[in-house]
Amino acid sequence: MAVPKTEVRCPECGHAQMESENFISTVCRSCSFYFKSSLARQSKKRKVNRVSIQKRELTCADCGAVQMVAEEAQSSTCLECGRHLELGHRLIEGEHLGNLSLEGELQIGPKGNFGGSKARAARIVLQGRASGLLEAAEWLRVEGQAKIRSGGKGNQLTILEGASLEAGDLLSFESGEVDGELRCETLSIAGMLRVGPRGRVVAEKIVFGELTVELGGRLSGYGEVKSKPAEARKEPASEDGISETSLQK
Amino acid sequence: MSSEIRGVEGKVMENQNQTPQSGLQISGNIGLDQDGVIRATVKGDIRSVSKLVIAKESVVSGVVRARDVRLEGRVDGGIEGSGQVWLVSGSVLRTRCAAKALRIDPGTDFNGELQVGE
Repeated sequence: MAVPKTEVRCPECGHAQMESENFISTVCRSCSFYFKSSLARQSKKRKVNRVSIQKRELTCADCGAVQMVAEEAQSSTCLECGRHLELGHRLIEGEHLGNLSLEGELQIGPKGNFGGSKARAARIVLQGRASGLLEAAEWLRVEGQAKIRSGGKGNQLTILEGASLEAGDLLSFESGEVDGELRCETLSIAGMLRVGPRGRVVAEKIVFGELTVELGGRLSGYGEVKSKPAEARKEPASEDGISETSLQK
Repeated sequence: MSSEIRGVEGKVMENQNQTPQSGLQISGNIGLDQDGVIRATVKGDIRSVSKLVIAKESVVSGVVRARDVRLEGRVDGGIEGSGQVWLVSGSVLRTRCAAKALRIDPGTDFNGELQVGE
């Protein structure tokens, strides 16, 4: 004689399945959750609504390990090296002592002063002063009359029109756009350094991969092209400048 | 109109072994009053009031002064451009470069003083 069956719902995921009327416990065929019959009866009216949490990728600044964190998370710990990762943004409006490491944006306001020895952030907006090294994984943008007592490094350096930056030590970036004024000891740009029509660069030494100083822009210092041995030498295009063909016409 | 070399204060001599393409070697200073292309080894200075191209494999031992300069070869004495100066990939300049506007391509062998727009 067949045992009469009844429909039970998993208390974890709400999945319905047929079980013997007098079953004691079972395993959900959807989510493998083990549950007893008492729980199953209670769950008949219970419907589990699973809200999917938006996640994003987070890369540890120290070891480079990648993990998924909730979109709204403010901090996390690297699963590989255990480093504390601060994910939010930070605005410095007064004096800030101590080092900083953010995965978000750091803004040093016009009256702000970063007094630590090193600040690292994905993006840095500099309007005030900094005593220590500023490291911007994505970009460092100078918007006001800014000063860095030591140096800075990162991916992209941008100095907006009307802004100025004075740095006491090495500025080392992958690319640079100067539409304001920049004074430093050594400027090292691995890729393209562009000085706009209102830009000005004064440095003792300027190392770059390639350089464009637009008409009206100013630049002075000892220059050196950073050598890239692996780079293929291309025949330059000659349509937008002084070309031999245009001269021969 | 073709380029013209005038006012050479030295002697021009042929030497197939020492010079690029044309084999032309010029000892002395050159003055150009129109656009010009230099395909030679020049032992002296070059002055132009217009555009000037120092072609690939050309060598100028002196100073190049012109309005606009495009360097493909090598200049030992420095470049002073009153307009735009363009150092293309493969060119060599190891002294000084002054200009109103400047472009230096990757792969250029440049090492020296830069004065742009000053």
